[in-house]
Amino acid sequence: MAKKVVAIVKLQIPAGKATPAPPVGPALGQHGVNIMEFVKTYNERTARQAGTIVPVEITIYADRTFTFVTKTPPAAVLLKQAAGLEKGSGEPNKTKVGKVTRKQVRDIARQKLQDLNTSDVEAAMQMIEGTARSMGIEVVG
Amino acid sequence: MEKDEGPPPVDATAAGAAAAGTAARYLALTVTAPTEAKEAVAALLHDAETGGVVEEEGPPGLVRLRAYLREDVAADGRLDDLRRRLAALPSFGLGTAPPTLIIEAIADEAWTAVWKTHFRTFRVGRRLWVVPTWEQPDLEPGATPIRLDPGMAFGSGLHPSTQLCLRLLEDYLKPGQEIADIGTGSGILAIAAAKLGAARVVAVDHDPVAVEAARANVAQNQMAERVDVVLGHLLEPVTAPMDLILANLTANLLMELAPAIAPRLRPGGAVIASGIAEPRVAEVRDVFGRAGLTIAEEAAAEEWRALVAGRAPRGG
Repeated sequence: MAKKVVAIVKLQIPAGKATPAPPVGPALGQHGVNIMEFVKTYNERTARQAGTIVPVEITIYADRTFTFVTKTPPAAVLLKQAAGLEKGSGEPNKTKVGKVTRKQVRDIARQKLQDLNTSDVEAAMQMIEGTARSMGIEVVG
Repeated sequence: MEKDEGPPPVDATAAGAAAAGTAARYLALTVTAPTEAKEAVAALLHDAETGGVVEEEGPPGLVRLRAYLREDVAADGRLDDLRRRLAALPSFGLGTAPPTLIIEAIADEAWTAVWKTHFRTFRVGRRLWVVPTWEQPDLEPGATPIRLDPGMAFGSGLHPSTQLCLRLLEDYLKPGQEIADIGTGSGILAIAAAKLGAARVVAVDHDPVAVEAARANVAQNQMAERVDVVLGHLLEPVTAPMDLILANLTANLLMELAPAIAPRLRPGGAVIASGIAEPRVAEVRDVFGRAGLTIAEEAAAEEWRALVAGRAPRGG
């Protein structure tokens, strides 16, 4: 029998390195979830992806147990990978730090479609392109 | 469209800290942004080294992202940088109006109190009951209570990996044995071992917060004479061979620990290794085998597995 869902919490946290400090503590504590139980499970499941951000969607039930699914990394992480960058520009209007092709943008948009609250690839591409520009990454091709 | 929210970005007062009457340690940064700017805002919050972002639904067409910054590191200009970069987002085609930023000071650890209201007395295993220190339940005759305030340490007894350990402990522990509990967290397994008749328990954790929580819980259960809680890495503080080693850790830590287990077990001794997610159990079994351990039992609860292993016979 399906358990009653009381909350769904979405977090973007470092793989393998979640801690009970904010944002995990306040986000889960307010729903009665034992924070450390989540931290241990998340870190165990994402240990192999350490070094990146792995978003997670946590479903919390009326008996305070929870399940979660991990998602694809944030668009900014995928853009940095595509452009071969460690980090984005601190002055994106002035200093450009890398380039991605329109095809790479389309691939990232497809990968992130579900998380961007749209089913329209063109709209998703505009969001990814804007995100790229805000990081000092030019879109070419 | 967001005129009523004031000229962006906006800072609110630190009313939360004043109301709580304590020195706040975190600033909660709440950004409300057009949906299309979500990924860019999240990236800016990560860049500010906030340690993570919570995503919430906002009013139609908007998304709300929240991150936290420790107050002592917030004064270095990164908030000014964040404000400046949020204000610039419309110039990259991400929405027509800049996101709003609200900053509130929050009291540290207020959320742990909320969690406690849901933590109630419950049974684990055949005789063992977990009883929160703030409850006084009437338990059935023969019940063995473990009085517990997990605080910020792992081991409330609710996690399947802890429950597996407690069940196996009831099966394998013999009164009078000497036991090591590696990664003791709240001390729950060490206390259970002592209450089930262990003569002496060495409980180890690398986290000073856990050591403090475990010592408090051991004292609550009047087991300080038999349970020694020490700060240290895995089996390093355990010098003498033990009858039973408890290790409720993770697959990676268990594999790191494996070579040290057999030399620290008495003949006939066993290790109860838990905290293994199902997809990784074959890997752990393999590493244990190569470390001179023979698997006696594999137990399962939900997606979690626990292994009981003993020293392999020499020359075998």
